[in-house]
Amino acid sequence: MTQFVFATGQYESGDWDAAPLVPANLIDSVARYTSLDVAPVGAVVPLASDDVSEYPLIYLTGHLPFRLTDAERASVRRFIERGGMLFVDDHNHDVGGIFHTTAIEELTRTAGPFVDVPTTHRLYSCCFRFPDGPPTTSHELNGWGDNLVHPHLQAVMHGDAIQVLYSSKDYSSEWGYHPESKRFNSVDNTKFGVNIIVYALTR
Amino acid sequence: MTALDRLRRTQLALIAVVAGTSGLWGLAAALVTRAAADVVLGRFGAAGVVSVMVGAVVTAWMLWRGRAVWSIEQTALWVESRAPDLQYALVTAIDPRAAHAAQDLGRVIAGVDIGTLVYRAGAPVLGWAAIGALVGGVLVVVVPVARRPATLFRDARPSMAAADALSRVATIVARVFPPEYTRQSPREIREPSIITSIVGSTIDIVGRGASDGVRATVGSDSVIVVAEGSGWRARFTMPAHSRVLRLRDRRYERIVGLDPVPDNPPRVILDHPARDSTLRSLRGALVLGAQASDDIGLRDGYFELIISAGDEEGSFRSAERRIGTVNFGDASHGSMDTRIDLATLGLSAGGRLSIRAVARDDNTVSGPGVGVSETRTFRVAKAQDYDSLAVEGEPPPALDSTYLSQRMIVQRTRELRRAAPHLPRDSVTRRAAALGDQEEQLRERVQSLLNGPDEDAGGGPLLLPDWQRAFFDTAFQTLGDASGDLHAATLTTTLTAALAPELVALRVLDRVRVANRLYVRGGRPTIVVNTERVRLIGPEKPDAGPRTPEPSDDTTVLAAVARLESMARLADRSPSAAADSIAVLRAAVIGTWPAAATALGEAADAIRAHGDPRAALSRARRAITGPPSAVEGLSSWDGGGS
Repeated sequence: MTQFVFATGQYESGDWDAAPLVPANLIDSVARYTSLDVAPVGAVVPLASDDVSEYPLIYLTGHLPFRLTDAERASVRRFIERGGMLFVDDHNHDVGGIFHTTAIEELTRTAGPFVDVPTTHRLYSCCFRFPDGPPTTSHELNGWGDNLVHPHLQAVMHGDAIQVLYSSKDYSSEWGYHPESKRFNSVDNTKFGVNIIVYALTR
Repeated sequence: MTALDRLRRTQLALIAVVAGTSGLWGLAAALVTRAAADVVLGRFGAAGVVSVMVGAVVTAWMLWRGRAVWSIEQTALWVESRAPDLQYALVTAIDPRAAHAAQDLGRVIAGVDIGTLVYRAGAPVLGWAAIGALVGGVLVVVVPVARRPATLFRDARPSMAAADALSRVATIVARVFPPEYTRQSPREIREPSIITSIVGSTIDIVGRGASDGVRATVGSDSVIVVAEGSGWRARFTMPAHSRVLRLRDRRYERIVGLDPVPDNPPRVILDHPARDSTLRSLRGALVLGAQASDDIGLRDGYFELIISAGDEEGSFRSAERRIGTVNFGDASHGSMDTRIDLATLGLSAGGRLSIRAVARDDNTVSGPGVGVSETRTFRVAKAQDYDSLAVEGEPPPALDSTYLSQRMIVQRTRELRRAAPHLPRDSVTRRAAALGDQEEQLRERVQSLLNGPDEDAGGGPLLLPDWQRAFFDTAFQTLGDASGDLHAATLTTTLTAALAPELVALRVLDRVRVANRLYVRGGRPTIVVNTERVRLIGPEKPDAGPRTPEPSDDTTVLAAVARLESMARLADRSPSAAADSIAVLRAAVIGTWPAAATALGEAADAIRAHGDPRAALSRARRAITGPPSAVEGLSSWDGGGS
């Protein structure tokens, strides 16, 4: 059994490194709540490289237009077909925003159509239980971005398995703080991130 | 007088007897109850309330029992029952239907002395009631005294009640004479535990008995005790700070707290002018306005001007003026206003006018208290005050300057190439060589960028990215080529040959310059999560040994609370000692916790009145420690899931 390394995908267009604190924060949570052998530092992997196959889960985010080059698109297709999972989060939290529109179009073209992930999906119960579906973020509740509370995440599914998980909830902002600051939170809001990682490793 | 008139007088007398009897029996019942309650409930019981209620009930019951006297017929029957000779003549006489026999009946009734009947019936009843009240009064006085010897034995110090009979400081009266300027009336305080008065008040403490052997001290100062009438008197002045008055008579001691009220100086607010200012010249009129207030009374107020002139060392001079003086006539509030003609002050450049309002109070004891406002300053600007600020521009960055230098050399080479056919050969050679020297100097600058400053000057090779190093290498090489061509140039064609490497060098330097101008976002932080520490399996182990809590830093509060607790315990065993201790503590805390001092005064008064001091002591403790705060338990850590 190899060590789990949290990987952030680097793509040519846009700002792929818009949430640099999220990987460390989720690594901290995985170490805190699970016994998974997790690497203390995340990795950055260019989507066009063959290294993507080294990682079971790749995290993508950004604010700017999301376009994949031909090489990136082919690499992502191979990654998904070989059992990898993409987690894409709209850092704008805006379904009318440029990242959402371009990312949905690009990923639909690359991986397939998106559907809503039902709240009964194992994603919401594989570690912590979230019976009401994805937890809301402060950005949703404060009315920023598109001023919507999104009840579901979207996903490109293969049967019951998630291949590409897409979030309009801006977890990149919600989880974008140094893990040392977690102790000041009365409620740890990164638990759902642990679910995503555990699900990606146990599908 | 008719029969009916006599009967009504009799009725009034009987009503008086019933009312008097009821009141006396009620009083007797109340007094007996009070004495009994003092035995059963002790000092802390609600003996007074209970006794009053019992007395009221007994009085009401007696009045109800004698309610028949309110009826004229019942009154007539009462008389008939005690004078059988009347043979119901009185009852018949008040019947309107027997009016025709009124004269006969009147003669019969006149033969009976009804007043004597009432006296014989009422006097014993009133007498017994009075005796009952007297007995109750005796019990109230005797019972507490009978109870106190037991307490006396327990007390290390004499109790107040026992001292009443023995001590000359047990019963005292304080007469307070505030200073005349306060226009407050003298007042008298009986059995004082705290004396509150304005600083400088004259205070007389008077007591019973001879003055010999009675000693008094205020703090560490002795107070002379003199004879006055049949008693003694100690006179002193209210000090400026809290003190304790100790009165001693042989082994008896009494402590009284002195709570001085200071006479604060006036408070003055300068309304106009509202702020400082700097002016080119002082001209026109300036309106001044201020308000003053004092806790007792204001005497007068004025505006104070300080005029400073001169703008250099050795030429300064200043003058002070008072204007707009107002007599407030002991009012507690007042305002003053005036205006000044600024031109008359004669201020020139560099001069200053400082303004403040001053008010004085009527304090003739320690004053007068003087209050001053903030000072406003008007300044006449000097010519040099208006100098503009010069900012030295920073030279362009090295890369930009090399690019600009190379572009200048390229332009001059082109100019020289155009002018060369019309110039003497020597002149072309000399000017081309000068351009070659400039290229050489530029090459040295590029070399320094490439290799860093001279190592002798503490520098070292710069850490350049590979792509930048390649560009610099190219620039360095082509600049050398251009320099060589220029030094060898004698003709237009050789100048053209020199332009080729010059343009290459220009393009390369431009690429590097533009590349370095790109805004590069900060690098991604590399955060290494200490997973061992997160999982609490790291090498650092917690110390599981016993821990000693750190003592609180606020030892003042702890000490005061400890003293309060000891006084609460002492109040049960020795009330008089507790009252004295509370008075001492009150004097100690009055400056720090005024609310606690007030509560302590109430506690001392309660003890001296044989009341319950615990509520007042609790308030004092609350005032010292602050209100209790509710602390909720630890919040759950559910993280939105479960």
